[in-house]
Amino acid sequence: LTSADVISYIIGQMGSAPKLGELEQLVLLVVLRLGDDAYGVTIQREFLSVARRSISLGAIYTTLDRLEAKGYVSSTIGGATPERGGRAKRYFVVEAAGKKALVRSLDTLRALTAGLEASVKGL
Amino acid sequence: MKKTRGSDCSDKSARRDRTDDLHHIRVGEARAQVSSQRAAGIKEEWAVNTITSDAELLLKIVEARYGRETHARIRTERGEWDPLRRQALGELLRKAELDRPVRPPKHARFAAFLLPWAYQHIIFGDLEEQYPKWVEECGRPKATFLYWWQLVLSAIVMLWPRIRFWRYLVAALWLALHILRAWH
Repeated sequence: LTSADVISYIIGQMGSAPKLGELEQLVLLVVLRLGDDAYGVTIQREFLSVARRSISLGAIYTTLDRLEAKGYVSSTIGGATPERGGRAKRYFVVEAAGKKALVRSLDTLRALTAGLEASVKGL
Repeated sequence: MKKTRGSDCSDKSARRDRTDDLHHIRVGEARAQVSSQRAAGIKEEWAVNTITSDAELLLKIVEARYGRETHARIRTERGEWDPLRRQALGELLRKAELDRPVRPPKHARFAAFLLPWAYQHIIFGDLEEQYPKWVEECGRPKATFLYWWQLVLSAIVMLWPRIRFWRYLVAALWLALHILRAWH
């Protein structure tokens, strides 16, 4: 890939860019990894164990709200459980639009990082 | 059991002189004042007739801390701690601490107003689900700290966009007021 290819690819993508922020991208990936069991606690744990990143529940729900408004995820309220003091869980699933946005976002990232292995150590 | 200095209970006058010399162990909010004195010496404090062994004595301390009584008091003798007895007491108290029902901080519910209404139940549910795991992993004090930390952090993160909105609104009103003043 030449730099011209990368630039033309990015410009081509700009019109329909999904505008996924870094946190949104990570949250989408985590929800996708968790499948049917994606709710606040599991998302937070997955962040800590896989992404090695501590994130507050507030940040998770704010990001998921944003993604829901964009139509990338949908949520359902689960049943109340005794270990939660009779409070319900809110489960999230990634919608088709979210998967599409994620793929586009990752493609952009791949295109931007291609050929940089030598200059950026550990890439 | 190793005999410590001044532990001869047959010397009643000597024992009376020593009753004001108390050793304190702080365990959570309660305080156990632990004695290595013989059973007869602590009878009046416990309102029990006999305590036959050290194990029973230690169990009484644990009962007092976690049972009906809230304050444990046992007279102690002057002198060094018996390391074995101290270790046994520590183990029993730790066990009792683990056996205590794990409930999240009850005052936290008053902080619910910090969170947006739609998230109050969900976030409190998530925190309540995680609290026993935190207690198991890092102990009750740190688990309580984590609980509050997550609650406050979540409140700040969720309220910030609203605060930002109000800040702009106040700035806009202030500007409008100044324009109106200048106009007149």
